[in-house]
Amino acid sequence: MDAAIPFISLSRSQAHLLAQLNDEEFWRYAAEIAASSSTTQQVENYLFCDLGTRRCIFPPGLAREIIPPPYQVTRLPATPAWMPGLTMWRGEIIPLVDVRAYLWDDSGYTNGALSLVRPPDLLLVIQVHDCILGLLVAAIAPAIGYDDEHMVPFDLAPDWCSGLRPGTIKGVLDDALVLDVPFIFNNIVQQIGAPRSDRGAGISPEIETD
Amino acid sequence: MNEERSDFDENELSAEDLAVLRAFDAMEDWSEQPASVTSPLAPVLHSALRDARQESAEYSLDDMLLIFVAEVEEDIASMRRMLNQLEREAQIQPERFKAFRRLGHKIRGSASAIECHPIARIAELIEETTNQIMRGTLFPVIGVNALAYTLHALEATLQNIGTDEDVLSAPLAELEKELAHLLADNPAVALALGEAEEQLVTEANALTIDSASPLFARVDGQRLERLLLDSERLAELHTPLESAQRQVDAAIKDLHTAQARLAQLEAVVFNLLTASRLPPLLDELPMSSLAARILSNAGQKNDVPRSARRNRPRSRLAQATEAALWDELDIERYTEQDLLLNALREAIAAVNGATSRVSTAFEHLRVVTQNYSVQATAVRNGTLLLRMLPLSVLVPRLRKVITTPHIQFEVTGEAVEVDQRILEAFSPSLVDLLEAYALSHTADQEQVRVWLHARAIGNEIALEIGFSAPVSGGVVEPLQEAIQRLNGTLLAQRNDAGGVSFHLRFARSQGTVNCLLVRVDDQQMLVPFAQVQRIGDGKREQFDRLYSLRDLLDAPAAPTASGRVQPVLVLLQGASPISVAVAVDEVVDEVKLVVKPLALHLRRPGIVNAAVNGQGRVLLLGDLPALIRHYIQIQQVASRKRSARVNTGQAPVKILLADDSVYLRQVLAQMLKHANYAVTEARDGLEALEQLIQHTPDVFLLDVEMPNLNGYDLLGIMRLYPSLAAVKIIMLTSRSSERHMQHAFDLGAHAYLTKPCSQEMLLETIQRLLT
Repeated sequence: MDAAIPFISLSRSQAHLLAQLNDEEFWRYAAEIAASSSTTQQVENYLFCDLGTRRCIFPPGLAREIIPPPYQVTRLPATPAWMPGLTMWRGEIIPLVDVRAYLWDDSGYTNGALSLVRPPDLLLVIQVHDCILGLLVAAIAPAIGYDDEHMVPFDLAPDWCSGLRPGTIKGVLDDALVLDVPFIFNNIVQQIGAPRSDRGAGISPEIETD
Repeated sequence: MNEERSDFDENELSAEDLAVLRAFDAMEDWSEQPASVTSPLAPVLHSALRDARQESAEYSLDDMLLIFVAEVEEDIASMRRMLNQLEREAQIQPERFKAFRRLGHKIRGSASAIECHPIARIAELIEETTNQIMRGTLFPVIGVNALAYTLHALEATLQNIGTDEDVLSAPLAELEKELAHLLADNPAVALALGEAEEQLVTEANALTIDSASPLFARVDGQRLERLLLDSERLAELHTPLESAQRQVDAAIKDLHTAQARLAQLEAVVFNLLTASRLPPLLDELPMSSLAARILSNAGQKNDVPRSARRNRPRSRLAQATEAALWDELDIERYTEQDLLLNALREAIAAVNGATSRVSTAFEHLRVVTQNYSVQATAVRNGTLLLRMLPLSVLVPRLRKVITTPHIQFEVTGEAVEVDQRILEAFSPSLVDLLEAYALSHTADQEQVRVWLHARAIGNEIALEIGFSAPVSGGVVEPLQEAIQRLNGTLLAQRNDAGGVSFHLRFARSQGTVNCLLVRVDDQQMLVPFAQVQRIGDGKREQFDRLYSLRDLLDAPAAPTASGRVQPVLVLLQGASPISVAVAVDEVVDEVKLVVKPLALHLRRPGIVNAAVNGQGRVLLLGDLPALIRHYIQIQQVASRKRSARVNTGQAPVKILLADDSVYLRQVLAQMLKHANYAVTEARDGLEALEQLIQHTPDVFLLDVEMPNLNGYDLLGIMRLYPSLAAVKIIMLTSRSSERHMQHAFDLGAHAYLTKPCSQEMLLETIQRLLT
């Protein structure tokens, strides 16, 4: 029986608190703890990603794998600056997206300088329907839960959100961006598929047709 | 009937044909309704008919009827010719009837549109008969007889058009009787009996390569034995693999247990050390009975068994208490901390031991997995080898389509092996090409030659399909599409016999492409071997056009290579006197990799496929001609933006005019010369290609219908020549349908004009493309 009970370590203050409770209070407290832990269980798949200076939240059920560096990156011509290239994941060739650069529409990547890079970022593989993207993020925190009710909608978001790519976030919660993932996926695929017009290889030349 | 109709490929039809067929379909549904009731589909039908007729609004109904009769007569004549040919063949292949089905469908559609039901029904019988033959439920020989009856009835009905309904329907009634009699004597079920078995064996021996999934295939016995052996070895590796996986699982489980124990101890130590620094509060405070019981139990559990006290080092805490206590037996006393420390050491040792076992188990698993991988590769290679067939299996089929005695067919290199699926991919269009050639030269009296020369170049096959006489236009396009799907190349060239030779080059084994692995900076890329004639030295050799792969990929500029050799890939250019090469930083290796298409949003002009090497690196497969073509177009756009080109004060703009009509060429040439253009002319597609290569024009004005490569064939082949990327292409044709226009644009045309075209419009279009 003892072996089945999970080991729980208590801090001194917690032990102190427990010791002062009477039976009724103890069981009420235990019930509260049990209830709160079950809530945590339900939302623990939310991913809390560090983008360097800011954080963002991914909804549950989309993350397929978190891959630490190094990983192979192959440059694809005529891609947006926030897309360093392609990589292979479980036999699939997937595009890599620097999330921070995408959200703020800038990039520290030098055009064409990549082949085998060892960025410090983690590679978060996300899948929405049949589309798989490799997202580069600085760190991934343990799963957390959040309550939509406490989210500040985008219209009322702080000033630092003004530079964000329009439509990419639903709002802000505890200084973390709540991403609109379906929009982002569609937008990324669209942007990658429609190469930049100021670049050489890959652009659609302006050839007149009748 | 619907089921039968679904076999039909509507892509074969023009927009006008489709409109007629839609009307026909609507009418079919309508006819199933009671005659007295107005069908709800009637408006649809009439609308569709109206649409179909609007295309030729200027024609009266009588005119349309005449056109219909003329078309059907033409179709009957075509079918008669094909039937005559089939009747002479010893063994008729069912796929030879495909054209009958197409023509039957077409006649049925147009007959329904003009509400000539007997003809529509006869045409439907042609389709039904053909479908039965192609499904294998009717012997081809019987099918030929049935079709002969049907054509006779069709001709008779056509002659009776304009007469009353009874007379018009008489040939149909007669035909239905004859067919009932013919098919009753030769029921389809006969095939399912003893003869079916014989037929299947015959098919297996003959290897029906055009079937999508053949039931039988001929394989090399030795290769099969080897594959079986490799498969057995692979199966034998399952047990060690599973065992190694179990060992890893068990070791990981042990590790988790040891880690859990360590974590428990860590928490206990933490609590203990924290408690030692705080005043003893617990005993003084009120507490719940349950909490008191838990803490009491915890205290009891911390009692240390005596056996654990031996050979334990004394801690500092123990030493400190030693001074206060006197032990007459000098027995070592262990405090709680000593015991915990000891337990911690043991737990750490357990974790280390478990970690070591995990490492060992993983290493073992790695070795077993490696062996498994090697064996799996052997099986895969064996399977690929098993699929290889000599080209000779295709030759009998090619010979069959060339039945005309004055066509001499030669084959060399028929022992070259090709993957069965690759053979299936290109053989139908090759057969069609030869068949079309044979049909177009049926009436010739002169001896003509056709040859197929094959040779293996590594993993590639090089085929020359040569014709000593002109080839009909339009027959090359399907073959070219098939070769393109195989990542291969097709070039056209005039041969010594004065005809045209098509040079095909593609991989022999499926899934893998023989490539050159090249490097630009630290970026590696694949280039199909089939596109490269040789590797040259850019510093010592001169090329008419030298591009840098770095520019083609829009990679950043880098310092000039300091090596003594600048490797360049010299492109295969057929008969072109212009040498085209692409400089790279290094040719790393020659590799054979499985190539697969990129997702649509990842594709770029010239980059549509990729492979993954053994290290998990994505390698893009670059189509060099397409990359160069695109690069030139980009440069041109940029140049146009900088300064608009003016015609005056420069060398005259060169225009190549390709049309098989002498009259039209003369009229157009005269008009263009008056407008200060330098005009050259070509009589057919092949001559146009030669002119394009030797005297590349600024503008290429071409017709669709031309002998020896039609307009579409030519556009497809032009894509393989990067030096022609800057040429502005204007199609000038009488084909006005959207489908043809779109097809031309898909193949690279810049403008599409329909005849008759005004002088102003033509000149304006030329000027617009040049500025």
